[in-house]
Amino acid sequence: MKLYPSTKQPQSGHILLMGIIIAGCAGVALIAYLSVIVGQNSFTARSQMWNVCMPVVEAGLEEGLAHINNPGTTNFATMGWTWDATAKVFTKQGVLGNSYYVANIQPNLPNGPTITSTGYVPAPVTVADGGSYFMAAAMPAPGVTYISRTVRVTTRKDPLFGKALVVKNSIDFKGNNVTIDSYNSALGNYGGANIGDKGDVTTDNDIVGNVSTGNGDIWGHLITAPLASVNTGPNSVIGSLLWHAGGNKGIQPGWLKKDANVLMPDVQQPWVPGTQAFPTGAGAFKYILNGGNYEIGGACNVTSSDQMFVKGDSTLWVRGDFTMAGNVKMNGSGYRMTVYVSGNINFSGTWDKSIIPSDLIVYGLPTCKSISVSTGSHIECVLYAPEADMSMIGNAIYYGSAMVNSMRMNGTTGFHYDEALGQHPAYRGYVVTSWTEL
Amino acid sequence: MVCKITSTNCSRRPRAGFILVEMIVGLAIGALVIAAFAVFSVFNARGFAGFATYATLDLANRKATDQMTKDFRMVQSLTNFSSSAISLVDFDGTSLQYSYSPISQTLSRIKSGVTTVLLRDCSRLSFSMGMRDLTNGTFDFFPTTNTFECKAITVNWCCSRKLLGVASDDMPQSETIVTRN
Repeated sequence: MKLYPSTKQPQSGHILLMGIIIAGCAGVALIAYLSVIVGQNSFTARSQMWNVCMPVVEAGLEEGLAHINNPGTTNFATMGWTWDATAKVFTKQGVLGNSYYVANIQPNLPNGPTITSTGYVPAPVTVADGGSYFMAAAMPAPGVTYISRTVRVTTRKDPLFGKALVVKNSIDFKGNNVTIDSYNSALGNYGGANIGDKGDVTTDNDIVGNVSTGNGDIWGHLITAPLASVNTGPNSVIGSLLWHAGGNKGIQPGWLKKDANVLMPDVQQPWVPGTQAFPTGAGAFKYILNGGNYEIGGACNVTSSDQMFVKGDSTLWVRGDFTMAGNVKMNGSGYRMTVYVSGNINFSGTWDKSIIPSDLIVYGLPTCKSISVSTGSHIECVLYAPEADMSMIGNAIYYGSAMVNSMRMNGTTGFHYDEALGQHPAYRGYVVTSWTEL
Repeated sequence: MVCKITSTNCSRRPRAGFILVEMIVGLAIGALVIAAFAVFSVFNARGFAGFATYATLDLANRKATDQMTKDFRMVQSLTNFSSSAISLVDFDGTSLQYSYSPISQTLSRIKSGVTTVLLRDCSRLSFSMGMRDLTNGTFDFFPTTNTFECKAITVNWCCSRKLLGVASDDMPQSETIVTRN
């Protein structure tokens, strides 16, 4: 028997085995990395889409707010809104890129319309769904999964004259007994129990030292811009009724706010100049306004011996200075007089009118630079003249509200805000009162 | 019968195994391979752990951001403020609190008696308030310390976690939310 040992080299296979093990480890590590990356990517993408959804939702809210402010709670159909008889809402869809919103307006609510908006944003495209939304021609695009969020806001009318005194620049209260407070004309004349602490004073300017209350008293809040400094005299009192009743001095904590942010657009001409009638007079009356629109091409000067008679709801445009030193007789309550003034205003006469300030509204055009209320004057009025510097002198008393460029009060002048102006039909538009994500 | 082995291959190449030098070289190469593999494994494990930590913290940050954003947008008002805790009146009139504990390094949300920990391993966190007005030029909110002037809430925080005795990278976060109500 012959034995023939193998002549071949032994095939160990170690390298292959090691290679497989190392590749396996690297593969496991790679899969783990990729899994974490996929998860991270999904979370990030979804979070981003979820947050992107909010601007889309608010675009729908803006659409609704824009409509109810202009043109208002009418003309829905002509502006692309459709009536949903089941939900009793007007509905409109808007497209923003590959996202869209559905906005609903529920009108005819006591305080103001309610707007509900739902925003839809394509969910992140993953390997699992693989849907493509880039060529979507209509919303919702077929086969696309959307992330949605819904927000509902309630609204109310924001009154134009919601504060006692609003100025763009400086406030200067001098004298020893300047008073700013409030009352409610719907409850009767000012005084007694009809005195409130809603005489809020606001300035929108940041000029350091632009608010000087002297020894004036404010039954209400003082609101300034962030950088404004307030100079108060030793006897100045600013705060609530209780703060005043308690004999306190200075500003009540929490009644000075430095976050004023006011927009006061200029007054526009009421109509094309020269197109309305001149208010002719008769008998003892220099001017008679029987209702409707009237226009005086230059200055209107009612001297102490003159009278003006307003017989119906009238609008008068004085294209020069307006000096009222005489007597204005308004024919009982319920009539409203609106005056546009292009020049300066001087009030020193008497007004035989109702106690309701909103029955007399005075608008100062941009060329109206000065408003003076002389001593002895007693006027229930609402003033809006953003470019005018207003001054009250002596013992002048003003009931109503004013929005002017600056304010200076001397002596023992008084400014009494009519809280009923919060219900006045003149309003700046609908504003949001609550914002809730559903 | 006589058996006679007449031929083998052993006579030409002795199969005596490794000589000493070969063994030393082989051991050295093997040790190098094992060391490299070990280093790679440790590095890989550490990197993976760091990456997983990053992903975990990032997820927690996102969830906290989304929750705070949603909450702060809807609140009615701010009733109490400090740099580490705020109390708010929620949209439904109930109380809502956010509180940061530097000891436990957690941010908690407390609503209707239920406490939810939004952030752990939170090494620092601070709240600040802003007014509705914007500064000229930068458009930042004017800061305020009065709760009744608060219109924007800013939160700055940072989360990090220790890994094998080494703290992970800081992940500073900042958000400013304008309250809508």
